[in-house]
Amino acid sequence: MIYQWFKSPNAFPGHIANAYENSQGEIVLELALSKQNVFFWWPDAKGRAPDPREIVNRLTRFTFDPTADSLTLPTPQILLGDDMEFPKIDERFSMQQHDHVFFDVLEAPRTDFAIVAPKMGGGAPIYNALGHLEISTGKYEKYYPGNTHLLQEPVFISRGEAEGDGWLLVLVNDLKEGFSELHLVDTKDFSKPQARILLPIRLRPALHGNWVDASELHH
Amino acid sequence: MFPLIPMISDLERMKAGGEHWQWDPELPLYIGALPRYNAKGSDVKVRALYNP
Repeated sequence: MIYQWFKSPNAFPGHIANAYENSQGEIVLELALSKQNVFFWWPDAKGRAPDPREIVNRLTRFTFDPTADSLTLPTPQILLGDDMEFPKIDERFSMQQHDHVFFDVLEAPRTDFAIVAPKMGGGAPIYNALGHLEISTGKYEKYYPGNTHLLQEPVFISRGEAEGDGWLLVLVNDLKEGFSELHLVDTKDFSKPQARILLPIRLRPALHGNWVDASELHH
Repeated sequence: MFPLIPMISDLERMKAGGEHWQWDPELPLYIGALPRYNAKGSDVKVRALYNP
């Protein structure tokens, strides 16, 4: 086996947290996975598309033997049932076993949708909190910036040696005031931001970035 | 790892003015596995994943 296509029941794969080989030689792949068509603006042949409010991405783990004869993947494990996306890990642990996953998550009842909904625009997923899941213990924390605030994708910044020790930097759109903010959150204290930088502009929902320490730029 | 979104692009549909992508709820989720090292381009088997 050099290159194989494995298959699993119909589902929409979102962003990948990490993948690594475990001690049994299996591949562990963790990603956001939805049973619904997340790209609802491209319906199926019959014109059917889900109501975007019903789309739920779950943090999902596939574990499989890449040398197996069967190309049908075992049933994946759902690590978190809340609607989440943009999982990030401490990237020093990329391609190795990780235990901490950070992501955007929707805490549905908390946002004031009467204010937010008319200003959201279409298409962008709605996330109003940062999540931190410690997989081995199931410890799960959320940072909630405000009831008219929606989050963009976070970036992880490492601090000490331990996995997950550091900060998350995340763009937050305050839809009531119409400006964007940059929040710096300590991964060890999700109760408050360490810094809240008010930007004089509003930034569209966007995604994908990584923190690179200046010392690494010389490599 | 290469997860494939079960979306189909069809030239004839596009020529007819249709959308570039169409969700297909009957398709499996495919995940490609390619070794990071020692895999050659010639090892990659391009397969048609969709045979309506």
